[in-house]
Amino acid sequence: GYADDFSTSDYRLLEVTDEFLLQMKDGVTIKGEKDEEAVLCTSNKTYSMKLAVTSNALLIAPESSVSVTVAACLGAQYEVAPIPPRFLRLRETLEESAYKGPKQPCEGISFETLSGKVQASDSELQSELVKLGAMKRNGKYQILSEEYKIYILDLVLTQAVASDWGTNLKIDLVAAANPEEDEEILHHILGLFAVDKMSPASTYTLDLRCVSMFRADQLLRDYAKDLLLFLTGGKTQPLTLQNIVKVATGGKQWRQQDFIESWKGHVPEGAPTTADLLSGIAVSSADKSDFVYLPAAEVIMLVDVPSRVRILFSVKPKWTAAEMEPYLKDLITPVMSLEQMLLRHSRILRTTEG
Amino acid sequence: EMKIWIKWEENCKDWVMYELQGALEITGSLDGLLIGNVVFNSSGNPVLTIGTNQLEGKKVALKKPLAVIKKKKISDITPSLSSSSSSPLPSSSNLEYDDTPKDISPATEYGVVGVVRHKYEFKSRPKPVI
Repeated sequence: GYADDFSTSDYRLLEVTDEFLLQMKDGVTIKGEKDEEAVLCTSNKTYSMKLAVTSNALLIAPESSVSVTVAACLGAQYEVAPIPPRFLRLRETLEESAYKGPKQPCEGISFETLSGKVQASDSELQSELVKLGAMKRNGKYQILSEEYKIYILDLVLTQAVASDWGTNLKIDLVAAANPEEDEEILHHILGLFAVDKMSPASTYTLDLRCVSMFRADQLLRDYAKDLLLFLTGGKTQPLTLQNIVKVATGGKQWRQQDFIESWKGHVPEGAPTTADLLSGIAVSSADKSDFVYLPAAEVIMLVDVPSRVRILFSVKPKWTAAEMEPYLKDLITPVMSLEQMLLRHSRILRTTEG
Repeated sequence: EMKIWIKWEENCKDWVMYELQGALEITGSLDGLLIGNVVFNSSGNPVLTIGTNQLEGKKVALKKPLAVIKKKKISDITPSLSSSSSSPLPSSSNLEYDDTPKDISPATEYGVVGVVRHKYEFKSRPKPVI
């Protein structure tokens, strides 16, 4: 949390930059729950606030040519540095109120509420909501549960084959074939899998790459869940990142040929099923014979490079830069490229490689 | 939900910092202490007088500016959900904290009251006692 620098003064010092000072003119916010490290947010960027304590006494006073009246004697200042936004709490919050189907009413969350809970600027939060495929209903944000997305995709793809719709799906036909579902929701789901990700529309052209990637993730995750169930001796456990790593290192993985065959059977005709689509979903095992489920969406919830690199190397000892890229690319900044990131943490690389 | 606003104060101005090496022995509160003039001696260095001690230091430009933020008193905070207002209300139109409806009750707020761009560094021997 914030206020734990033990200073009894009402004053604080923030070491910033001239650019940041300009942002402060529009107001900035400090965000964080008691159990979180506080962050500073401008309208479009997130920053860390780290307390730097000094053994010196810092007397501060308004500049005066007449006499100096000390406003405060401080022993520390906050160092402000740009960081990627923290979205773990956003995902957790949205998952709790996910839309699961027309028979399970569930209300979404207002942007104002999300902005108060999530350690990110409003711009970054807005972008992430789009990335997560959140819908806005009655002024509130909601994601669709994975199960419901799979349920609808299964229905629609089967109907498309049976009724010979091809890949251009007309909403009228889809809605008529699924009268129990909320038409607004159907629009939203088709939009998620369409080439032109705009909804509502009258026709949605399926993005076959997008469908393929969704199916790959679905299949590999189910395989991982089954393997986890086997490893825990039948006790159902959630597929946390820790368990994903446990599965990745503890059991018999899916042979690449076998996975691709299964994958082909779960996508429309003509949909691509090449290994490049698995980037950010799975990696080749060390001996290159299997695919190992390792979703980037989970790994990037860790906020720093060393934590992520540790996870990657616990899965397999040797990685190429291209393989690591999906798990680190959101941390790339103008002053820190992927190559620099890997160089800086090469001690970990060398240690693991022996 | 924890969101603490830091708003730019209209009267934000230049502040200065005096860095005294080592801890000060403070017998009373230092806040609000009238230090007296900082005068510049013949060598062009600042001379600070604290109590009966005179300390000679040097002016150093800060590599990065420091924003001085001050916690606002409850009565100074405008109780609204928008971020547009930045100046405190005059005291005659204060809302008493207890009477304020829950949905617009003020939270902690800070104001940027100053920017420090240089400091005076003093190495103090002997340690001044205040």
